[in-house]
Amino acid sequence: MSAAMRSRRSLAPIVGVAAALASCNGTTGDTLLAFSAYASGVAGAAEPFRAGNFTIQLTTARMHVGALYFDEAPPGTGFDGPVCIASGVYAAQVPGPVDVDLLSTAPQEFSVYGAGTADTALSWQVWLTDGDVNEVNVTPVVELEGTATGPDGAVASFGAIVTINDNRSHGSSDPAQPGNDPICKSRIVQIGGLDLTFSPGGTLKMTVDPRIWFTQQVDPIDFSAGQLPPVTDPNCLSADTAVPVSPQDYALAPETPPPSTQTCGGSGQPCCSDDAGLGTCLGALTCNDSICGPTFCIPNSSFLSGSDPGATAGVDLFSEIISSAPFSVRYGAQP
Amino acid sequence: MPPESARPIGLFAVGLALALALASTPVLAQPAPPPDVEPPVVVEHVDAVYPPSALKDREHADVVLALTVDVDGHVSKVDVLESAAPDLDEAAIVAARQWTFVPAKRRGKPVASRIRVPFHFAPPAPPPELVTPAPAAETTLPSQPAVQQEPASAPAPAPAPASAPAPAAVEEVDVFGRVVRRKLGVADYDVTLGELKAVPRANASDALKLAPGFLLTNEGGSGHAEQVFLRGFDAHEGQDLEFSVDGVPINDPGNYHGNGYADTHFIIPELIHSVRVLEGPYAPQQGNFAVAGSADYQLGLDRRGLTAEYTAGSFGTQRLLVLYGPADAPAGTFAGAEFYTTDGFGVNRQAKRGTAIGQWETALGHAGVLRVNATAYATEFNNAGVVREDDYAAGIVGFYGTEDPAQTGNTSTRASLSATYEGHFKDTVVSQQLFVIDRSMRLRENWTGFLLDVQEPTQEPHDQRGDLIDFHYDDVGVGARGFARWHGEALGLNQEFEGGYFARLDTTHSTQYRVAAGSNDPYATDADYQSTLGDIGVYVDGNVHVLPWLGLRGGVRADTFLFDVLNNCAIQSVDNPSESMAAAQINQSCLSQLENGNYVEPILRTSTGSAAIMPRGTVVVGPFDHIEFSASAGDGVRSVDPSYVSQGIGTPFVRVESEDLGVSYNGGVGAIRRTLPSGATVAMPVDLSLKSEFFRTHVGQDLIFDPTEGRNTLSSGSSRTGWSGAARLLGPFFDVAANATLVRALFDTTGDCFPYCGLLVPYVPDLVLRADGALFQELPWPIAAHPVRATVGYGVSYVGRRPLPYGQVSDIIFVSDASVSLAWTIWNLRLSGQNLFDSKYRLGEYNYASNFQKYLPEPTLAPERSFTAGAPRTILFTVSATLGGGS
Repeated sequence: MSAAMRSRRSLAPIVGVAAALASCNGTTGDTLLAFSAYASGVAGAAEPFRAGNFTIQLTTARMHVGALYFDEAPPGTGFDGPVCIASGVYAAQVPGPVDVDLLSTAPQEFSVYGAGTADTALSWQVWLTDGDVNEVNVTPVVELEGTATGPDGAVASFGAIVTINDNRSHGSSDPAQPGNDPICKSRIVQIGGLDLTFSPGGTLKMTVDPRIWFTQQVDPIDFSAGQLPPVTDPNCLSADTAVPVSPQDYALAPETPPPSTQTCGGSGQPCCSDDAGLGTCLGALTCNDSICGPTFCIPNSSFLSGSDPGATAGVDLFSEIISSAPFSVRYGAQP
Repeated sequence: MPPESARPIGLFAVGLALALALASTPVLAQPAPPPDVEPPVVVEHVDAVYPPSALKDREHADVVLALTVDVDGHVSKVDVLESAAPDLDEAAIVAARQWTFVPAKRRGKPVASRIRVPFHFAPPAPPPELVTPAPAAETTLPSQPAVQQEPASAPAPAPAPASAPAPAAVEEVDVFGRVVRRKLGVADYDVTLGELKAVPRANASDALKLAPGFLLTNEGGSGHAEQVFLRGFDAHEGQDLEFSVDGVPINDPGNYHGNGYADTHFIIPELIHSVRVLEGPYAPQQGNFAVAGSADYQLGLDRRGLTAEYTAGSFGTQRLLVLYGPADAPAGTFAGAEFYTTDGFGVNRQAKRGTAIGQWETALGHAGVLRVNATAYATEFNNAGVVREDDYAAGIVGFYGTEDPAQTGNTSTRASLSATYEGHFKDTVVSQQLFVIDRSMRLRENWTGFLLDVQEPTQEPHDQRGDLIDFHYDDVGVGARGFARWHGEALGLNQEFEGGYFARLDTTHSTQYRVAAGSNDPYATDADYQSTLGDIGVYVDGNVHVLPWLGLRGGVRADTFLFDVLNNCAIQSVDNPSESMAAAQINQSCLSQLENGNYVEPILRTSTGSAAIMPRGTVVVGPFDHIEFSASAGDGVRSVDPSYVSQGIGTPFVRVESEDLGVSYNGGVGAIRRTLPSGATVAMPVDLSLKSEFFRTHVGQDLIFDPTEGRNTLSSGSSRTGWSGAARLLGPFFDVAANATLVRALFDTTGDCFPYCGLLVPYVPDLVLRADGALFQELPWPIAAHPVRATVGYGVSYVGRRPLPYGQVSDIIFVSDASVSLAWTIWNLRLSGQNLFDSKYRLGEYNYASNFQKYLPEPTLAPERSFTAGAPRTILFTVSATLGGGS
């Protein structure tokens, strides 16, 4: 998003005028406000962590967040309620995207200011979308790369490219409720249990802990050999028919570039040549079409056959991504 | 979807035909003056000057004029009944316009009158030169009746050198003044436009600004009714203000867009003689919707003859106006037709309209007057709607742009036919009016963009299809009003008692659909109400004089409201649908099932009726000349719209209580000596009226704008306290009016006030200032011996910051309008400019959630600022010619 598209508004006039009116002539109640919004990972996300029998080291974890919305009502549960956009009053919004490096704790600013009213939000929504929430999205919401070290010391490199299209939702099968499971429902993370009061001059900070995607699973992903498909497997390349990928797409250059002396072998770098002229990569990475990248993928689909390698892993990872647990938000002073 | 209701379609055509037919109706002979009429008495007169152009012929000649004398004693209209020559006619007219009178009276009450005045022209004694009279010679004429049974042959009073008027020789008086309600204290404004017509006014509603406290905004296009703010009330599109034109109601009952919606655009501004504004419910004659007050337009055509006027100017604006008032007919007989088209000052502001109004006024019986009025009006216009402030700031939508260009095809029509009889029988005046009204409107507005069409489980998966509202309203109403007013004497003082009624029955149909962007297909039904509405009011009103300087005016009014409402889309959602039935009704708005699939027709009929009793009174104290103190109190009501009617509801109306305390001054403030072209000097009076009042009102349930419904919905009770003042200074060459209103409007702190308890009522300006001025003078440079009259008009409005939702305030509004015109013989040229300094101002400002998805792919769901743009500088040039009018 270009700078011109950033709808920046000055906070001072709004606050000042509102205060003056309130002090002299009363008020209509409430206050409009604008605020800066940031997102980041959490401390420790870049460190190794345990998930089941494996020690996982994430080398890349990126998330594309389309927007944030804060509702004054708790999440709706009624049958007749709207499915994606709540029928209640929204206290605040950050209606633009951010691509956030989840391995960094540095605040990464959304592309637009937040706006809203000085009210208390009791729930919020994270929109994992890029563009129209009901249309095909081609931008992955999550891109992952890392290694998993098993109890036997074996190291497996893996990657994941998560998109949300027909690979995640086939719609409702209930003829009486044909609109009960639209694609937007899969892209919006509804989070309750919030008690967040907005006030002028504040800053919003959202954090996402990617470790929870692995640690919260009832049956943690098994990174043992053969449990996940190689990145060249069709289930890694075309699970989302709307967003086909190549093995090189899994080779994510880390947010922190390698030393300048390292010109090959790293993820996203050309494969090094060994004495036999074969491509080699550092660590557990694999050379695919002359580019180093992860060896295995966590399939980008919720509809693979149970016999397909990684079918359960694809479902479980996505379930955790769109769960409320990894997300937290606070509103206060400057980050 | 239920079928559209059957609707008479012929009335509009009938109204149009009658409006045109009345224009050509000959004027009947006028009767002798009623025996209870006191004719007007000359206070000051000015002699006509023998025109230099006639000197060479040195002939004697007679010109007979018909003067219309207002209730304030001024000559409001001059008609030439018998012509001598154009220059002599003009000389007589110029003189006659400067006369002042004690107005005619019927049973002691001032009424407008029409008198006949012959002027005899004799050449000056020492031809061919004019003799300059003695310095500062001042013509005075003792008060004398201007009506005599026999024509006088009095010679020209000295020292008039060139004329021989016979001011006392008038053969008849034709009194056609309307029976008017007695003044009700300081809150009662009878605003005569007079020379202030020179101030540019975009439409009939603009005339309201001559009374204090009015702010008019418009978010819906040039054919959409103005949103009226008055003394702390957001009267919306008329819902809190009872509008009428010569007693015929304007407010739309049962209009779902706004119950009481009042579109005044059918009134041709040039046909407005005056506006009676009563700010508060203080007169028993006021009925439904008189919450903030009432405004009654009184029509009349001052410029007699056949006038053709063409206007062209900014933004492709063109207007053709034809006015016709037979010179020898009363001012109440006239016809006017208008064609108007404009491209508008921005995107989606095109409009065109046609209007025809015809009125015929004649004597009926010995002491009666009959007026028949027919009106037809039709307009088609586009609507720019609101612009989001962030879209404007980002340069995505222009200040005069639109968020949704599909807001087109709006229409409004009105046809009405009314007949009013006013008769005088010994000690009683009676009035009876019948009217029939046919109204329709279609409005396409989009307030929220793509926000409200959220995915429901029982709908096929869909994107937001757009929130464009397609609203339609039809109404056929018939009604009558009348009264009898008895005059008598008790305690040695005049006393009056009046009993009257108002009755109106309407059949209305309101529908509101949501239309998909792009396809224009309706995809949802918001509302579909067919209603039969009745309002029968009866009142008694007294005007009791206890002492010569103490009057008690008021009485009590009782209204019975009837609602019979058929909701054709009563069930729009259920929490627990059955699978089989839900499958059959997927995507439908109007469901035929209740919880768990219990079958029900998708309709619901409700009916109720109730009565409101409203005492109203004013104490008027006038112990000093020209000064009057008054205290008023009264209750008023506004009926609810049919969507709020539930079976047997106790009170299908909202009550308002109002009090006023004020003082007024009406009198002269001296005179200005003017030297006439003849050299004579005359003293011309300068009249001043001043008003100051404090007011307080409380409304039981206020209305507040809900952008998600595109209309006003009920909120909690609210109160207003404030002050308003007005002044008008009228002299021989100027007319200046100014008014100011300060108000504070708050929601209640008790009762069912959540979530508004104690908060400011949004959108209501706390300070409104308005000034209008006109200068008019005959220029000292006649052309071809005919005088040239110049008129300059200037108006300025200042509206303070308005509180907006979410603790915000609006910008101020400061706009100037001006015009200059030259009149010569039959011609009139006018150059006018509105928003003279091209102020870029926001006419309406709002804070609410909308989502027009102009530059962000993700929706905007939280409240943000939107606005409607005020019109930029608009320059219009007008040329008109009047034939056969005599003035």
